[in-house]
Amino acid sequence: MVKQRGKLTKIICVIAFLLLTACMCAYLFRVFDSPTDTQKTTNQFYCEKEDTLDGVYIGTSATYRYWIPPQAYEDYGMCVYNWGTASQSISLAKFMIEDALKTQHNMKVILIELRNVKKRKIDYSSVDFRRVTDNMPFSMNRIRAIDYSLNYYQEMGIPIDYNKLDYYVPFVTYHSRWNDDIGREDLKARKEKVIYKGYVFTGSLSVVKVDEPEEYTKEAKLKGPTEKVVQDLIDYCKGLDARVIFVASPFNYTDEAYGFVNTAAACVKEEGFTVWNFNREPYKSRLNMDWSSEFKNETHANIWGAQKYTRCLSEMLHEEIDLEDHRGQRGYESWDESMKAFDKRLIEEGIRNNN
Amino acid sequence: MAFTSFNFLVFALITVTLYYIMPKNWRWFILLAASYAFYLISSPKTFVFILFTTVVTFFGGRALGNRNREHKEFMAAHKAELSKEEKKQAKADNQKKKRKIVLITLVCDFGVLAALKYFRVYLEALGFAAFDLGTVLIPLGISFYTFQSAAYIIDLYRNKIEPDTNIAKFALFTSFFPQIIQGPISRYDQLAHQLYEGHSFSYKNLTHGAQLMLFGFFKKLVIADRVAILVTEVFDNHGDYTGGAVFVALLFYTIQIYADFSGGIDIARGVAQCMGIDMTHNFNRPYFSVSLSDFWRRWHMSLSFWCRDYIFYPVAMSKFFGKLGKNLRSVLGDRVGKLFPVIIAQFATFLTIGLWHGAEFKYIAYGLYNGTVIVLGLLLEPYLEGAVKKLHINVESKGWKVFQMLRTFFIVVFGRIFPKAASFSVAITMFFSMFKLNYGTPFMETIMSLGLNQRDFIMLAVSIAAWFIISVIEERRGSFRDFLDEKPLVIRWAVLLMGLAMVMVLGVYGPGYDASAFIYRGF
Repeated sequence: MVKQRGKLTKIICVIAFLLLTACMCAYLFRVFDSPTDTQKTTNQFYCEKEDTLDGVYIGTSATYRYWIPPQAYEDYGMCVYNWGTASQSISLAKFMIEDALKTQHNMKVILIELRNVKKRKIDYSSVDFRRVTDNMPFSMNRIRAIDYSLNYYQEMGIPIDYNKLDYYVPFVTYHSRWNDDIGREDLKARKEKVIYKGYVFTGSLSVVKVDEPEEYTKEAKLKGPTEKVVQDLIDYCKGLDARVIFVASPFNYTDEAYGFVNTAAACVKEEGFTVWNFNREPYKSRLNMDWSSEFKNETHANIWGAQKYTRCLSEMLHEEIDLEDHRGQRGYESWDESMKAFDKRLIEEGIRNNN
Repeated sequence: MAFTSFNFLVFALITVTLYYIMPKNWRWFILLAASYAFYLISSPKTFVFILFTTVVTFFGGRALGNRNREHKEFMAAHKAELSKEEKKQAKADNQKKKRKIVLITLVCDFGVLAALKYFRVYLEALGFAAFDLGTVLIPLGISFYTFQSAAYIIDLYRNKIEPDTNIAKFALFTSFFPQIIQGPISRYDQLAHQLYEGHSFSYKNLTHGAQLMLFGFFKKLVIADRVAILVTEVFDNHGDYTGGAVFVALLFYTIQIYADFSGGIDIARGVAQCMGIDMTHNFNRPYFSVSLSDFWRRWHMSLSFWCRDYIFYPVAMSKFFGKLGKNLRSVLGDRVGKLFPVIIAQFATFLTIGLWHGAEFKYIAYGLYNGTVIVLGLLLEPYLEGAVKKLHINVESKGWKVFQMLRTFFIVVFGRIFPKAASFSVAITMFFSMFKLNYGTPFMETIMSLGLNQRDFIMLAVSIAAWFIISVIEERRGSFRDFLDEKPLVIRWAVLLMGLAMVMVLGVYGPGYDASAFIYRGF
């Protein structure tokens, strides 16, 4: 009896110790996580209430510098989340859509940015997809996203770390932040979120005069692996119920870059998908960006450019797709808050009058 | 498969689990399967060499065992009829036959080691560097399992043990995976029966084994791999550094080699202990040694004791060197003549230790350095004792002990330059460069530019202090794990969780984090 009680005590101790260890590890994993700003966008996405989104807009800074969800909500009551992260790899798109559909079953539109096909080899970095995968909740979809992206990078000949464990368990990389940029705020282990539903306001007040580019109509052959990824994405999108629209926001860059985007757009169009390339007519004229005052640099709009872009794109979405007006509805309080916060920010920055 | 890899942790977990699932009689088989799987994963192309050594040693051992048995039976059967001379002759004949078997077996075992590990160096030394030798793969753990097999054969020759009759079990003894990378070099009579008999599950073995592994990871990942950054920077670019920077690098290397080696051994012993197997200790807090002889009784003990038993004693107690010493007394004096066999034995031992590390002259120099210091100590012993008496030094005092420890420590530190430097000539250059003062960059500025920042140094200081405290406790009280077991549960758990957190956060592993890589410049 005494022996059995001793055995039971040991078992309880072992379980308790393992639980404590698990809690400690969970805390450390939360403290030593991805340090990027655009990680918050991903965190916020997973906090969105189930089945409240009409759509999601996936892409790079060409997305989060252009699409203002609270403005679109204010104007039309549509809830299209801006899931843009810096330099996001196109290899992630279908996995992000897959994750989005796990909690947002009623999405009517999925916007996919095409500008990320223009990346030069030197622009590739593992951080591009880590900004998303490091902040996705653990799932087989996340593992597949990592494996697929690593495979894509390897085929592109990009010299990065190919040890999968470093990606599956972000802590393996970020634990060494203790020696770098870990601060008091990190020790609170809070998952930071964003208020503007993915639009990045910081740094959007700059005005840089950019030369208005001529429309470029030629195509440039995509690299083999990128072509394959685009085709895989197209094949995946064919099976979706939601309307998939491929988008390219306006920018001023090299002819080759335009050529890559044109080629990807052509591939997509051939398969029957809609493409709204705001660097080509008639969309260029419809948008009518003011290149002297609506850009913060050659490839990103400022707040004024983003407002114009959002107005135009949301108008087009309103025309094309029957999206419900959620303004004032129960369950959409976070969107109301986002809208008010954005409004307040515009007033504070002197962009909108307080009336 | 490195001990500090995630793959190894998974491998160890699966092995320990399967070990206890298996019926007791078959648990040795799990160890064999795991050992061969480990070898095939880590070094598949050289697997044939360990098989060769296993088979040759096993059958050599069987032949020796048969010789021993036959001689014993012969002597028992003819005890009454044989004269003393005849018995002596029969014994001598038997020893001659046994020596032949030992010679063949050892030539095969050491021949493979010499050919693979030292072949390239010898050819280059003989001027054949122009030949493209290709990539000569060094079998994993070849030095360890060769020395272990040699000890088995010599113990059989000496009739100390009985030969193994099961080649599969013997294969386990040769290839046991926790010891294959870094040792220790185990003795057959100490390890074999532990491997072959299945051990019952023991909570204490499992927890103590896991704690030992944790300590091993702490030493390896937090301390050794961190100091290695500075050491590598200085030794790889030795031309750029002089003075204090070289000394600091050497000091750090002394810490690195101990932390790395003993950390690996702790992980190996910890895994074995989880399965109830007590592998021989390899380190006994060597930097607390009071003399260089004491140091070699505490450092890489399995190698030192192997050399003691199979080189030192045979040479020191050999009739040949004893006679030679006697004859040389008239030339060298009574004392030196008496010590002569011991002196030769010491040099033979340390030459072996030097060659164990590698065939380049720098390793031989390392061995000879240690041998010379120990021999000088022996020869000057009466004078040193006289000086201590004249100065009225209390040899039992703590101060004297501390002085001896520090003296020994720095003798060891300076000796380390030989194995670490790129070559013997670089070692000499670096040694003298330590005494060159650098009037250019301030010392601290140089130290802070060697790959470690302030936080690294603080963490190192804290980690080494923690290690020192644990070592002091072990020096005074025995096992730290037993010491910890006496403490309240909260303290035990706090220490273990803190240790685990330190390894997880401070350990040098993974691709490393570079904040600048995350700054998106095109935003």
